[in-house]
Amino acid sequence: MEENLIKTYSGVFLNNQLLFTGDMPQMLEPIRLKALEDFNSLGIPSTKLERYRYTDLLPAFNKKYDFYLKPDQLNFRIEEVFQCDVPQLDMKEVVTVNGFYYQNNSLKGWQPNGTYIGSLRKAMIEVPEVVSQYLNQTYASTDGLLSLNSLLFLDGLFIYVPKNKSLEFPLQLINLLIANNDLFSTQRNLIVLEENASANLVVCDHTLSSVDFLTNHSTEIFAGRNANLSVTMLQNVNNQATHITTTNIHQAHDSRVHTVVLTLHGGTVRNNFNVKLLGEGADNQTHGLYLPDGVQKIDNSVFIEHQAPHCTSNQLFKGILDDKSHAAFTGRIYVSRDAQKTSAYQKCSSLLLTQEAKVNARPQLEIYADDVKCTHGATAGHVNDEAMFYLRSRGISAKEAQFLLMFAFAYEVTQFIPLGDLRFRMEELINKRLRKELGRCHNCQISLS
Amino acid sequence: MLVIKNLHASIDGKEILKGIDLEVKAGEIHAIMGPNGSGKSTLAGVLTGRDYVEVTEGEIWFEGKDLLEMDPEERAREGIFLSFQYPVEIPGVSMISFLRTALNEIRKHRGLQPLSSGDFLKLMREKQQLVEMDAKLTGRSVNEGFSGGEKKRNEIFQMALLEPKLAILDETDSGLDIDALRIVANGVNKLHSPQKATIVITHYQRLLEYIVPDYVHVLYDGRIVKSAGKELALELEQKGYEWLKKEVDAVTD
Repeated sequence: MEENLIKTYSGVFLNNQLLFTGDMPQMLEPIRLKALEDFNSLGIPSTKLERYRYTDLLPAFNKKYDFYLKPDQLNFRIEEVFQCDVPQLDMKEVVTVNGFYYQNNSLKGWQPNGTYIGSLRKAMIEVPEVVSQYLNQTYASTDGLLSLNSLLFLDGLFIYVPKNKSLEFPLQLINLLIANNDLFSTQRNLIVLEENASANLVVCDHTLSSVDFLTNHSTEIFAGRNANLSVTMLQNVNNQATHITTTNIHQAHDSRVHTVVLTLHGGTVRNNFNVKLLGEGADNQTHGLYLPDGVQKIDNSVFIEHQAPHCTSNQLFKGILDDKSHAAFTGRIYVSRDAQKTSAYQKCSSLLLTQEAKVNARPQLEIYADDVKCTHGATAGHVNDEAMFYLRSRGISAKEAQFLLMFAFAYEVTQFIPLGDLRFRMEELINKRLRKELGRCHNCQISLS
Repeated sequence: MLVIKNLHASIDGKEILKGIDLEVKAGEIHAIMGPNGSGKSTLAGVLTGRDYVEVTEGEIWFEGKDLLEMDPEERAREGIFLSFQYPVEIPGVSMISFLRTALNEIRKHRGLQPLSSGDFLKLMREKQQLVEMDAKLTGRSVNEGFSGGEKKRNEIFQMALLEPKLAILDETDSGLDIDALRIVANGVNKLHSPQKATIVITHYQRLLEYIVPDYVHVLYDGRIVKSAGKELALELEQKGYEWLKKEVDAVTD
């Protein structure tokens, strides 16, 4: 069965080689070849693999999908049908549609202050000397999904912030999925911050049609010396979507990369974060909040490699699980022999609203240095009865009391969202979500033709 | 205001209250005293609707309504307030959103409009002064990181804000130094009026020097074994509970 999957998905590449290599910049050729070789041996990860133990992706990969290999001419303007829930006055937005940089995006290419924001596909042609330095440099032959992404990506967002520059506004990337038939989508984003550069990113994933989506998106992030990057991810995809993201981060000396991922809705969501702290004093914060209900599955896997001394890393993943939902967290912290004075913290806690909801949390430490501070822990439990009674004894209804306690539980993560307005908007969304007032997208029935 | 008739209650199948009769009228202050384990906190639990206490017999009427039929929040909205012996810390729930939600729920029940933010903050400041509570505390999460004394003051502050008809103070004096005790008692006295009633549950007589009761009841082994005026508290202070225990045990033996 898995052999067939390899054939199906590598077949997409082999049957469309002109599209994937011939028509594409030459720098992709070695990337594709390596990816093909690796994918043929790794295949789609099954639950036999340690890292994928809790989420079976094979059923999703076994379905039939359309592959979106060329951007369609849309017969409507995205901005007419899609209103984002996270508007902010000083924020600028760019959109991708099924993995391709949207043609009407106002930001394309060099910006007045010397930064570059645009399509990755186009950047490979316009600024090959920059892109080739970084593209696929975080790649490792360890995960078939990453190999598959390297094999099949055709576009995505490219951001380049040169030395001492910063994006002068928070940038919102809205990844939209729109299709008439079940669709497989691949996307690659590349974010490069050179020395002392800084950027603030918001990434939103939305489905606009109620068909089955299988997405295999990946983002590469390079934070140069003393660079500062904040990424807030908001995932709100439909119940039939299997949404896979891989974020690979390389951090140099004294760089700071802070990520918060909020999963409001999704069928099966799998987030991989692979962080390498390569320079002294680098700081990584990766936090997550997930609020599944029904039979949704949310699986976060974080791998932090401390390769240099004096680095800090911190993860807090929290979930509120309703109905028969299932969440998993695997956190692996690796501290190499040279990474003395490492501080690494990791915590996962879950609030289970029903007896059927289930969570698996597996913190793992692998430490080869002797002078380090590492802690990890996991908790799972129900709403605190004493706190419930206290609130109710002041006149607050049981429902409202439970809501206040859930919101408080979530607040521990949302407080890490850096922009005040954004945090406020996100909290409103969480508020709606917890009260079950968050409708599916209003525009969920958009068709392509 | 409150009528308790032949109240029996158990926890985990063990009978703790074995037939309590008590009537509290508007304007009165009742003290319920008794040795540890006599059922004082269980009585407070029954009145406020703790679900681990099972009422096996008897009735409780609050202003003509059947109290035992009500959820804890309904009791609060009807005007019953419990000052907790051990106030709960709730990280992440801000004092302000907690109090505003509570106050507006109670106002709604009384047919009043919700307070605007401005009016609410004004009211909060006013009531804070009553218990000399540090304004910084209301900027925090509910009871989080509060000292023992601050927690008890916070209880009385909430009472001032929610304006209950019947206040039940469960061991409000335990863990308070004399200055804090005076402030808390002072707050309770200022809030008392001919339309309101207070039940003070305490092990010690000390609090009753500041909050002077009209009646003192001694609870022992799940029953009220003696009721009298405020002088009974003094007598208990001087002689302890032993003489009463002996008296009661002699009768029941």
